[in-house]
Amino acid sequence: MSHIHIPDGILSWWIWVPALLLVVGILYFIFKSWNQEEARRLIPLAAMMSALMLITMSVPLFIVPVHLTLAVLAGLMVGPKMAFVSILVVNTMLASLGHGGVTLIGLNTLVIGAEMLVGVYVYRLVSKKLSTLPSAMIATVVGVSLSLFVSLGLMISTVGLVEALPHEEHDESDEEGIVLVIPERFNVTLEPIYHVEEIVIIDDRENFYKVKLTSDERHATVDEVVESLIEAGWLPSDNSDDHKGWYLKDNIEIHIHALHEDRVTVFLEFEILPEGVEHDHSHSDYEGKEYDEDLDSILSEFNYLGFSGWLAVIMIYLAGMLLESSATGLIFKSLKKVKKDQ
Amino acid sequence: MHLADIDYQALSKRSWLHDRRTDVKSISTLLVLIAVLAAQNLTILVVILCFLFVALVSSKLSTKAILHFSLYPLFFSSIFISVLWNTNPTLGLLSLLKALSSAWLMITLVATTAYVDLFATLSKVLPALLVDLFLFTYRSFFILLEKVSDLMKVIRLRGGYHPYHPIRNIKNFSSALALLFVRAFEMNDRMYQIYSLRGYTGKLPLREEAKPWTLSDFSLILISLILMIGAIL
Repeated sequence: MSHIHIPDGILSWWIWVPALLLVVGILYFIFKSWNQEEARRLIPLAAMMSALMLITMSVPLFIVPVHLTLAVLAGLMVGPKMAFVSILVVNTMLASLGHGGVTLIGLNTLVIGAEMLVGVYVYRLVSKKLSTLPSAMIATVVGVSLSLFVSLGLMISTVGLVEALPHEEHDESDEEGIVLVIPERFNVTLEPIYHVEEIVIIDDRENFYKVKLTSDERHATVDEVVESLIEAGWLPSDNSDDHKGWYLKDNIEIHIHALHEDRVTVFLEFEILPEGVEHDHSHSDYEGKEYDEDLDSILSEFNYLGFSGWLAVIMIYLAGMLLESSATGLIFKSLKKVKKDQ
Repeated sequence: MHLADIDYQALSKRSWLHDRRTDVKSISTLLVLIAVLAAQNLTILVVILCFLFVALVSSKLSTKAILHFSLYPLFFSSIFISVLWNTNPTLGLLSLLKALSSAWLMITLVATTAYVDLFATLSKVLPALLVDLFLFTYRSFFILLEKVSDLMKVIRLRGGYHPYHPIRNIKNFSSALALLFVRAFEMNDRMYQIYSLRGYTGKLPLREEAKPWTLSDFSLILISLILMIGAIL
């Protein structure tokens, strides 16, 4: 699951050359320590594992953008040394087909090799107390998690921490948010808003205040404003469970809406409602344009397209981990049932 | 998986590149790879890419196949290009061309050279056991591919696949794969015994096809050398 897909020419030589040399060193140690007869006997088995890894690593799973590696299974089947050599063979063959860079062979072997090694040792530890299936699954989860962290570390070393993190996170840490100052009479204090490029005051009356925000990421801006309002005790002013665009606290109402024509403008209206008057929530005009898209539609769109950032990372991680660990666990359990000597 | 297609391309087609010596193609690949990695301007990369495109087309690889093989590097480099594009578009383009060149380079090599010949060349520098593992993996891949295909048919015919029961499907497929492994291991054990009986002691005898050095071989190395020097300078 943790195969690194960085093409050639992107990683600096000081990352991939030492990795390649380290792999050569490990290979030297493995070949030196091997009982030749035993190694020869293991080769057909290792070849079969390599072939299976080749197939699984070149087939993306249709529901998540990852593929299985079955490296831990290889380690459990043929032992860590032979599995490491198998991983090298698989990476070399994949690189020759344009799947990952040639310069990445060493790094990928180290990353997947680490996954396999940790998985094997965790399995040996856990299997003393648990049965085959949970032991193999736990071992895979631990191994894959470790190699994912190593991959992430490499990604950070290539493009930097800010760019390697999911988008919504780095924006906030990297940029300073804009504080939207609302007149005191409206009793509203908002947290700094990110992504906003411009704030224009449209209307400023005694009981009504309106601003136009221009944002390169309108959905994120709306989400930040809503979050900030809810934290400050504002509640949606209609009966729906969803955010409908109107928020009420005491006798002050806030309306969030956007222009349908573009994808960058958000309007915030602050209104002090007279005692006993109920707002009809009808849309008003601004420079002759209809505000025909309210917060509900923005948020529904946001929720649909919002599978990004940390949420996407976590979901993909969990889905990939579940598939990899269950495949490893179930195959190994079935194999143990059939071949008791494994 | 395109290994089968590439294998067919390497063994069944004939072209100017197919006729070159394997060691010559390997050395040329290495030189051009150094050129790709060292290149720091777009012009030299475009020249390399044009050279590789001509090599791919002349090796009778269809444009559709070339596009197909380009998808992987294009997809994965696009992530980095999107990051680099805002700050340094030239660097982004450079990364894209490097990724594409490197992938085309490797495809050119494997699509015009039989894997066995490549392994024979590799055996001059790599440990014998490693080369054997390459060979056995290569052989096992095709065995496994065929068996997986048969197994999928059997599972479907026997009602082991239900579109609305993913957990049951995973269980069935895992059991089937385990069974497949067992059979494959037995087959490989048998293969090992056959090899042992025939004198296998940890090094498969690989005989490289003895092709004489020709002017074309020297030309290929020379072009690659020029590209490498051009990229470094």
